[in-house]
Amino acid sequence: MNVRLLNVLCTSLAAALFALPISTGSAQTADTSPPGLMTLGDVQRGQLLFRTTEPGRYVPAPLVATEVDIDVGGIVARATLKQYFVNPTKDWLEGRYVFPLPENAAVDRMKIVIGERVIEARIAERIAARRAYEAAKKSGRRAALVEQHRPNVFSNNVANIPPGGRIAVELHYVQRLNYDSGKFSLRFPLVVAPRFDPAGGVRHLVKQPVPKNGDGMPAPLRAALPPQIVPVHNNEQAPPLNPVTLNLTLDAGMALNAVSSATHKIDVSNTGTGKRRVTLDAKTVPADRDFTLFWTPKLTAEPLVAAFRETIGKDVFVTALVMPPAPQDNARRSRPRDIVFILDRSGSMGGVSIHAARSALDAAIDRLDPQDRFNLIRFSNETDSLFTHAMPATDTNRLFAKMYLRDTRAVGGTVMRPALHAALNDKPEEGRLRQVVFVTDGAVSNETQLFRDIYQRLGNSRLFTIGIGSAPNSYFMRKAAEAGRGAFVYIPDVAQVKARMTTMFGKLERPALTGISYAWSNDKADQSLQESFPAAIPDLYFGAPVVLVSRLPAAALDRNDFLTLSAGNWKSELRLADTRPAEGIGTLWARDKIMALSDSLRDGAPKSAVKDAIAKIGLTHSLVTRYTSLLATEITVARPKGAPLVTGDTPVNLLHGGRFGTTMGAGMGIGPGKAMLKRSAAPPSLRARGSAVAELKLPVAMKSVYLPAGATPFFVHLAIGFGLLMIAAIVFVVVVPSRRSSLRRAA
Amino acid sequence: MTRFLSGRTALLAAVLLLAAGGVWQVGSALFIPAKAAVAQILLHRAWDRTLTGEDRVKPWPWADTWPVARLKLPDTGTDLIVLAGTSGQALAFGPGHVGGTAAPGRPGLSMIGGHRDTHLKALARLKPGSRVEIQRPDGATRVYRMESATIADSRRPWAAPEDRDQLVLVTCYPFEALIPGGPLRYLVHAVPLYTADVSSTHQPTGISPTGAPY
Repeated sequence: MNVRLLNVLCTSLAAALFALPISTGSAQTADTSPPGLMTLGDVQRGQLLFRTTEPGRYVPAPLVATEVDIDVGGIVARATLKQYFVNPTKDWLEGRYVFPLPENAAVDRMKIVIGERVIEARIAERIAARRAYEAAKKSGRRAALVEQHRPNVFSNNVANIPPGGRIAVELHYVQRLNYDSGKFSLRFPLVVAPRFDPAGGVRHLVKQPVPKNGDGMPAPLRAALPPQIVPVHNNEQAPPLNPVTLNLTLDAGMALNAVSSATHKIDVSNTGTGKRRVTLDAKTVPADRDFTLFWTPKLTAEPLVAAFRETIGKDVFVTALVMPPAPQDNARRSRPRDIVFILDRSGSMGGVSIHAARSALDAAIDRLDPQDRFNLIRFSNETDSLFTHAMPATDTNRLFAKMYLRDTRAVGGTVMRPALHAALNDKPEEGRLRQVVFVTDGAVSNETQLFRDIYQRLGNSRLFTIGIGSAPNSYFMRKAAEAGRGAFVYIPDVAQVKARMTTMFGKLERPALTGISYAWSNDKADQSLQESFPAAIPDLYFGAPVVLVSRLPAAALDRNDFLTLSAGNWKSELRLADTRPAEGIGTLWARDKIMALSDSLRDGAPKSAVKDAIAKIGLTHSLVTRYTSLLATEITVARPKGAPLVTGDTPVNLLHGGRFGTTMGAGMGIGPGKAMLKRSAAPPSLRARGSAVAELKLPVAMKSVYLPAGATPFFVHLAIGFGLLMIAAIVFVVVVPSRRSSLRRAA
Repeated sequence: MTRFLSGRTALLAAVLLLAAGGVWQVGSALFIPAKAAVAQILLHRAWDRTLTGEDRVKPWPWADTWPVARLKLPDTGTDLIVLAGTSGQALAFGPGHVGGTAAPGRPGLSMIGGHRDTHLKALARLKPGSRVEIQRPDGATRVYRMESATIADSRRPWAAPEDRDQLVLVTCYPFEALIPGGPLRYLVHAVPLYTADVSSTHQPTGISPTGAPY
């Protein structure tokens, strides 16, 4: 009470004291021009946050074109990705391009083509490869290095591109296709989404394992490791870069119904039974959204089985896809559910993504049964929820939910853990099934921590993930659904929402096929020679097949080994002799083996042992892994002595539909060659300050902040107040004399 | 005669009303700097209590914010208590620490925002090389040197390298604008020189090198 009185007293006192100084002070500020500042017209440029490491030397990034050839055989896709690095400058350049691949892709071959010459890459242990690359780069030899940063993010460095020169880098990878609800699907990611790291702000490339001291890596080499940020091309200033051409040959191995793409216009020509040739309609498309393709096999009375094998040395690798019978429709669950929806509304969801997410949830809310209970949690930097705990899906509650959805905008970072905890902590009532439906683009980089959380807190709940937008981090989504024993569905755009949500609800509403087991006929005999993935088959939701990949001794072919699959009263057998030979199966197995090894880290396997095991697999199967890289170097020196080498990053396109300002700070973009050249010709005063030019050696992590407001309505009040007083005075002055004169006249 | 009188009364009433409105408006205008100044007096008391180890000291019982640092600009004679958060209510009483950035006086990117026409008016007179001092709740003072000033558009999130140790003071721009709520912000960037211990603000004994862990 005392304090309040004091406050009031002080207020009135200070009001009198401050009246004068403030109003005179404000007049002063007008002529004090703030230090270190250019005119307002320059402001836009002056906001660039990167400096050049060498003042006065600015170089445009090398331009890139991409050609993709995909060869689909059954359930395996083999893709050749050709990238052209063009150097439009008069300098010798090093180009670095970060490219995404499907999350289950295994990169096994690379070559660089310079004019007529082809240099094949070899697989090498990562640090050794990095060292050899740096050495080649320094000595002026042409070199290329492919490294893996995350399961689905790779980078490609090409050194010593001659002035005006062109280098093609050809990458080859193998991928197993997805089959779900009667459709095969293939996705080719064409952009890397800028990811949000709760510890370190926006980070475009994901954490690179920077070796610590004592790992035997010389300090100068460590300093030369690629910077962790990729420049983002400012799509508000220039048309998309990086044109892509894509050709696909499809040999499904079964009669086909339809072939379609949800993301791009395609031309499909029929080249035989189950064979198609697919090209992109627009011939070249910008690399700003993932390419997807679907094909539906013709339904037959036979259960769907697709199995392939590849013999390499003493091993035979087998992959099999077996469709279990669909559960009876009347077996639809009647158990009431608690559904918790989690909506990611971070800045990376801006644009098309948040619209798609909102309509997906709208559709989900419409599908709820009155006996269900639900809640809606949304998060960015902060987490809030519709209800404090799950509430019955009454009409009123659904309406609330829809209103809540409608005013959800995409801003801020992605801090996912509190939302996840909130969803998994609210304990469901006895006898209720809890399903958590997570709608996100997965643009996070603390994935391991999140997976661990899901494992630890899941209990009897099931976690389903819905991937939204032009380039969701499907590695995260798939693994999260796996850890959450649920399923993952990908919605590329608003038009797809309805169809995909129906698929998703098919899964949510039907019972899963559980307790599936498998065995090879000679299991016991060659235990050490045989290994299959997944070790345990997860719960199967409606429309999903059993997918297995095994390594067997080559002798198994002659022995006529067979595979038995069973669950409840369902049983299926597959003879090894019935599998068709195909390329790339060994690579698929190696990829699964590496995934299993990485997962064993979470269960406490010793890190060094896992590292050695992964490196060994990488070296034997010629795969790019976290510990092995593909390296190509030329023997002859190309760059003349004395000519310096300049390092540039190739800008990555912003996601389709994403606005530049939503994910990036203003002015962080790096335009194409021309724009950058123009920028480097900025006034010398600007250059001297070093704030106007985009840096080529970029700092580690960016922090993005919303700037607070910083002014009071002081002058508005003052102006209105004085205005009113003035009018009062004028009226008074006008009225009083006129009264006197009229009085005089009356007298 | 009566008609004339009543007209005159009406006019006088209107004049009085206008005058009352004017006084009210001028009053509420003057209330802004007054509140800003008086709150700082109360905040300095709260800060003294914070320095003795109390956490989240509310300067007055119904306050929804608390002091987190003391900001001194020796060149302009500014001495302010920085509040937690940058809600409009908090900013009326003092500059606020922008949530999500490093705590004032701690390594990393730390940002403090304030009104250009009250507390942070002095920013316009700050020049590269000027000292900026931040006293932390533990009593230690981190001394910064102003490096540059930039202008940013607040309609877009502003980004800076996070590993760069800097203090950013933000206020509205242009300084002389009459209407509040414009999109531009004036940013003063300051880099740390050293950190002085509790006992010696002026004689830096317990110096720790810039950027080193504390």
